[in-house]
Amino acid sequence: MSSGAAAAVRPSMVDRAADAPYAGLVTRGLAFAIDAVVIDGAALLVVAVVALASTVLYIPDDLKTVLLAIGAGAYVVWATGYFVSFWASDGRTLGNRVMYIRVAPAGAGKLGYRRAVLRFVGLVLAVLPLLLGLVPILFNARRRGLQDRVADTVVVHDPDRRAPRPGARHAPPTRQLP
Amino acid sequence: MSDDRPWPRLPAPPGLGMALRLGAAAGRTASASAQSAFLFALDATLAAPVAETAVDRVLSSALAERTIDRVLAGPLVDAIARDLVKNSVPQRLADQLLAAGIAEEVAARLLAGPELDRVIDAALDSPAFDRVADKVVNSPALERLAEDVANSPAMERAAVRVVESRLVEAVVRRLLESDELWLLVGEIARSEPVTDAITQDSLGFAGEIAAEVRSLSRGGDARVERIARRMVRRSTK
Repeated sequence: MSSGAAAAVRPSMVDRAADAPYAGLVTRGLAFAIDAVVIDGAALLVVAVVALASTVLYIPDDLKTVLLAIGAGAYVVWATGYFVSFWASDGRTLGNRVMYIRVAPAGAGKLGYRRAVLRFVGLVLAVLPLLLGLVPILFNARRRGLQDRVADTVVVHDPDRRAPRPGARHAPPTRQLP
Repeated sequence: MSDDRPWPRLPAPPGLGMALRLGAAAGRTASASAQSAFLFALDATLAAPVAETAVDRVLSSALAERTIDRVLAGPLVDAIARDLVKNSVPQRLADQLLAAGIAEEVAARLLAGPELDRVIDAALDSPAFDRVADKVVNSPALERLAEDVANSPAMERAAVRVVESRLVEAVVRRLLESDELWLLVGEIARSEPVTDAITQDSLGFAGEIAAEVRSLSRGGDARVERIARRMVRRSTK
């Protein structure tokens, strides 16, 4: 792992990258699992609502097939949009926020929507051959998988820098009981 | 210079003894008569209305007042007090009073009369009562006493009896049936400090779990990589 590569993560994050090593396979896997729970949970909720509505409406079989195809497409769009939008905005999906990691460009520049989409495609390609595309994370000095190489990104630890609310638990009551 | 020798006994003249005995008898008779006359005169004087008037005048006079003041300010009172103490007069008097049941009568009259209420009210209203109460409440002795009482087996038995009694059950049932209790519970549950505390506790607990998971995952990253690299090295050898 070179300090130059870490410093090039993002111009505004030079100091952060210096003390933030790259995230490994376990951490990234846990973050991805949390993202999967969020994505599938939302999808299941939608499916439940649609299934409930379909019980009171007459839907022909042909239309059901079409609805299934639309649902599958919507799921793909939803999952893709979830990752792409979070990566392109600040590099932190909900799972990444929990695990304090962040997807960042390996070099100079900004991780825009184009590279985010590219990274998602790379992720699909890495997962498809029995996760073989993720194996390089175990051996690479910067812990980069196939999706990182495709989009030229790295995943770094990003500690929470929110200032704790001083005395939040000991705030005086603002209202008197009767 | 004294002369210790006894005087010589002279022979008594004849008839002198008889005369002396008669004289002594006449003297005793005269003395008894004088005493009777004096007592008669005294009784007559005391029974006379003028005597009462005279006593009233004497007692209401300034002279009597000054006399009493001088007596009270003088050493006579101290001497009397010393003699009273020396002769155990207060103790004897107290014994007599207690034996006669005066104490019970006094206590009964005190309890029945309004004086006790007035005394208690005055005591409770006085600043001295606050000072005394403050000293008592803050005294280590009271704390020890409370601790001893709280830890005593008798108190434990009493507490068990109270808890097992129907009184507690009835009180709890009435409390649960009262609308005011549930209004109060709802008000407390909706209050900002309680909701803040619950939120903070939940977030804090979730945050602690997440931090623990993060710490474990970092260790897991390194461990998985070591295992993978070891396996690759073995396979290449």
